[in-house]
Amino acid sequence: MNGNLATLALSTFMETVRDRIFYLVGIFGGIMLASTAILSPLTIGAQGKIMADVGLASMALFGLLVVVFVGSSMVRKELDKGTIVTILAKPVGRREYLLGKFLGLNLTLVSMLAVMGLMFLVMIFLTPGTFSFRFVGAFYLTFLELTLINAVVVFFSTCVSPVLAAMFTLGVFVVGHLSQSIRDFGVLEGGRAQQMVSEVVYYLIPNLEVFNLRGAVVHGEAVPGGHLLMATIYAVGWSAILLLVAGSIFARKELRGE
Amino acid sequence: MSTLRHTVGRYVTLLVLGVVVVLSLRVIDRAEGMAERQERLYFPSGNFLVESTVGFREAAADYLWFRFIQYYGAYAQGYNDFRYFELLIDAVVKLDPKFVEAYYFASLVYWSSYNDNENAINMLRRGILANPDKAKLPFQIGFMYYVIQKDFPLAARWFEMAADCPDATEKEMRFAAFARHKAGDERVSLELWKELYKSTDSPQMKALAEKMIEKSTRKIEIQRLYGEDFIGPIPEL
Repeated sequence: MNGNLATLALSTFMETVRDRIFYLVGIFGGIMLASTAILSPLTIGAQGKIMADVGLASMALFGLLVVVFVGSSMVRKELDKGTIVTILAKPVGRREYLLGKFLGLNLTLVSMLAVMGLMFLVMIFLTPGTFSFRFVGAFYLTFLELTLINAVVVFFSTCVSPVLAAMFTLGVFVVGHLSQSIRDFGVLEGGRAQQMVSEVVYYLIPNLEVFNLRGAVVHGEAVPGGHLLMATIYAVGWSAILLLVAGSIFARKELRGE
Repeated sequence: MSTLRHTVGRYVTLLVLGVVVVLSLRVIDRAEGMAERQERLYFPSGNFLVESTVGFREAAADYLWFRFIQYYGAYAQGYNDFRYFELLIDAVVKLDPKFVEAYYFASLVYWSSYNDNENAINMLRRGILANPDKAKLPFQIGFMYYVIQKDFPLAARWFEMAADCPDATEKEMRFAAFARHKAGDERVSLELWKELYKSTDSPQMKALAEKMIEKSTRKIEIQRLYGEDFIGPIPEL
């Protein structure tokens, strides 16, 4: 990574730290504790499963909230404050700037997921018969999913307002988890044209269910190495496409005071 | 003086507003049929939930599981009827088909609260389709045939199926051997006890298997000597 990128990524990371994003990690710890101590009498033999479900779902949810709400206003904030002009006046390209922002937010994600993952493993370790390192596979897939969502939010933040960027990104998250159903719907409904349309839609939307093996992992299945590799390629591929398009849009954007 | 009056005024206003909010909520809660309508809102169909809980299906299943337990608890204490039971458990297992405890507990509820053995077994069968490698579910079907319906051959078949599961313990084979013995199928029972004797590390289990092997061998020998239809006390050989 070149110096500019590293500086941009680090400053974005520090900005999220200043925004007290890591308070969410504390809330996560509270949820994990609650799911062990308070809910355990209600679980009727499923304590480990429920703890793991709640923990993994909370990690994904908090990560999503951070990416959507921080990512959607990240570029706009600097445009409004005018700091972007100062940054771009230095030998920093616009594409480089966007990539730096993306990497900075990803750094925040990695830190958050690492701390939450550690807390999760400790709590799981304290629950008899539940601990397993296969959960690390689920953490990694969650990270890949959030990386892709990060690219989506960076893409939208270059062309629409922060509110719309957040809404569109949440929309992509929802549709991304339903893309398989869209394809199945096309097949079930018959018509060749309909089938083709649903097939095209299926490939045009990132299929986020690729990264959702949380249920399988909780029920004792390990994530196959091949799946991890292909999911990594899929996430990196989609992120690269989105960042390239976002870079092109951002390069043509007229900035105040420049 | 005026500042004090303003401050007191603000606190009184806040207090009045707080009372208004609490009272209005109490009136809403007491409205006829409200609780029932609310119950219905909580329980949409399982198919809808599968699509609408994007990415968080298992967590949604856990939430509904808690609702189900509370619902059953309220039913057990006489606070509500059981009309949403099927809808609720269907949603739980559609959201998380691998939730073995849910099938198991629901079948127990069908059996104990409803006296509906058919649906209890159907629920377990549904669980087996989604979890063919879990011993708990076929074992429970075998147990129901054994205890309630006294259908020992059928119970033995389910116990044997449970014993073949990767997570099976000695319990499944022990029950299969007992059920075969009860069903009068001594040769299979003997083979199962022999297998158990070889595989177990527990001294108590070894002693039990040894006793049962001896008993079955004796019974087979008597049947050979006196015929298959021999009934009565087993004579000493």
